[in-house]
Amino acid sequence: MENKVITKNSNKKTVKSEKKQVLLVIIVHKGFENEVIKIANENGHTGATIINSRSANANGTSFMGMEVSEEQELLLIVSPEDNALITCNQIAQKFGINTDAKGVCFTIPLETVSQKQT
Amino acid sequence: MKNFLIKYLKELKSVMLSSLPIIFIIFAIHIYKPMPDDLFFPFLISIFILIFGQALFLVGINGSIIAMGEFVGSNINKLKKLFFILLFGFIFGTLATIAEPSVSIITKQVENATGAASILTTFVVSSGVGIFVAYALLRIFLELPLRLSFLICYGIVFTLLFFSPPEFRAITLDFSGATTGAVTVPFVLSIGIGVSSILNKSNNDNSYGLIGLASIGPIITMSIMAIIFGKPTSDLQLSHETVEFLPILGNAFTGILIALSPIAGIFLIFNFFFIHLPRSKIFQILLGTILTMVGIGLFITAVDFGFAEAARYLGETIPPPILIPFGLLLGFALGFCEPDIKVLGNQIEKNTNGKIKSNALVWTLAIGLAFAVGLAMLRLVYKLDILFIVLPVFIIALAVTPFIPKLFVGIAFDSGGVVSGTITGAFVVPFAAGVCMNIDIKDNITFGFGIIALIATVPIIAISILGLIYQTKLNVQKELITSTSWRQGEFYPYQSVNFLGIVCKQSVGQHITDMLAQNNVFIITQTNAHGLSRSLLPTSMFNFTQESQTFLLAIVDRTKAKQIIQTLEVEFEFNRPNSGIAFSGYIGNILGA
Repeated sequence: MENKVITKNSNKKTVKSEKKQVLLVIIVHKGFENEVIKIANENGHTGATIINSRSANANGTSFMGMEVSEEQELLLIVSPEDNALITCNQIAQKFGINTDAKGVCFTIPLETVSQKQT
Repeated sequence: MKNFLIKYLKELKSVMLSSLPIIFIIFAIHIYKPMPDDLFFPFLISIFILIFGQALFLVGINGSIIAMGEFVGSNINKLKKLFFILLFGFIFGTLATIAEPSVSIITKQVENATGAASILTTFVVSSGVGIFVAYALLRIFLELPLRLSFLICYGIVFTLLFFSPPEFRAITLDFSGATTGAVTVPFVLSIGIGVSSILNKSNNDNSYGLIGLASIGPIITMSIMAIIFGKPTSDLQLSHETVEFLPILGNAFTGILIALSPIAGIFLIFNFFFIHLPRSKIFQILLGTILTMVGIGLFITAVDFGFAEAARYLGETIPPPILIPFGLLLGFALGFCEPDIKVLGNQIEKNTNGKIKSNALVWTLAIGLAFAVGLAMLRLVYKLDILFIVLPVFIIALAVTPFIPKLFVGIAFDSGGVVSGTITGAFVVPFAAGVCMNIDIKDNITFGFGIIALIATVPIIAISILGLIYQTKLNVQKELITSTSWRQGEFYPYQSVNFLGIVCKQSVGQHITDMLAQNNVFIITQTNAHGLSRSLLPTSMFNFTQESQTFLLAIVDRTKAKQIIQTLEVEFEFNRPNSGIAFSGYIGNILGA
């Protein structure tokens, strides 16, 4: 019985979201991640995974064996493609490469996703 | 077990190298004026114990005490109410200080000098730490500015010191360094990191500063006590203790056990109520703790057994004219020998994804320590009041804070508590006592103390300068990048770029970044990661299998991606297992160009 219910459910879900799922990757300088999440939330993304990272700009200067680099946040969001595109555009406008946030934003098409996003 | 041995041997090698300078200095003095045999042979034996112990400590600490601190810190919000969190901070700070072995030594000396019962002093000092640990947690949660906190707290400290009897100033300031010991520092450090990791803010800036704030507490409470008690009644006795191996070993281990008990206790209580780790993980952590304990126990034994008496001998034999340059040299050599400095460096390197390198930090702190010991010698030679040196140092340190990145402010003030750790306490203090005898200083209570205070303050400036340089370099680079490449926008031939992910060992990360730059790849971001493969799992007893890795994410031209991956295979041997992996794929959209 239980098995059937589950298959039913999962069938429903796959039918529901035939939309193509993408992985939205956003890289912004530290401090802008909350603003980015706000935009993402307005476009219906429920959450994101934030990874602290730093820019690895090899043209940069170094001293005492350290590269001089800035901290960045790497945000990963799984979402349907059309939502992701809207978010991507908005982020490009507000936090694009020419702003202080030095944001980069792109999507990677996904094949399988465990949890369907709405 | 094999993994453990490999790690241990690696660490052993680096510890040996970093212990060389101080050993070299002592040998040089030995040649200049030979030590008596009953000093020299213990010293020879201690060298080996010191190196083995320190390596063991450094290998074990990541999986044990630091892990405990991070677990406790990142689960602290489960106490629900801010009041309970502050109460936790207060109780922990108080208990940890009471358990600290170096505190009991100083309080006994205070009892001898002033007649104030050592229990009272201990209580006063440890409650001071407790209050300030609580405040430091409050600061992280309410986002109170770190710079302003330090400014206000040190304002209070110096007003109080100004009114307290001059004989007490040195000893009061010494408490700031003595309360933060070898096991407490890594734990408190990682609590800060854990706490700020759960708050929804850019975390690295907030992670540090906990130790810096905690070491202000005892200064404030002690100087209040000093004002109440007035002048010391009798002179201080700097006693020669007997040098026998077994009692020292016993003392070191009981001291560590007592210091460790509040830490392990709090972790186990937290785990029982909130964290619920799997049993194998707990087992792993406790096993690591035993390893760390043995390591630091051996280290302390070695320092007390051989190095302390050698240090006193050094102080007595150095000809007074070269005292100040020798102090500089000695401080520099000691900087590489202090295990907690390495722990701080490793933690910071890990948490900033390699932005701040451990080595740079160790070197900076060694230079700071050099100036600290040099200034201490200057003070002894010219018999200056401690405030004349410490006050300007703090004024400089606080004045530059607005110009350096927040992250460095926290690290700078933390480093004060970290530098004044095991070896500086056990080596520099007897050295200073020896110097006092050498240049015939009678006023022991004023000049016998104060050296730890200097060691805890001068490195703050060293780190601040590091931060200042870093910031200026960053500003220059920012302009460079915006003017040369990013503004032209020609990197984004729309729809013809791929993403490129590279996972590699941390050691080759830098070379790969250089290689990518040669191929005109500009947008690269990098984070630290850990490797975990199935073949390694069964031996993960000590948590050593997780190899440090770097994850690079770049955007490259579609045609170039293949070529880069081929270069990686050839030059970095990516076609062999366990070396690294690179992958590239299509990008759906980029930047809505």
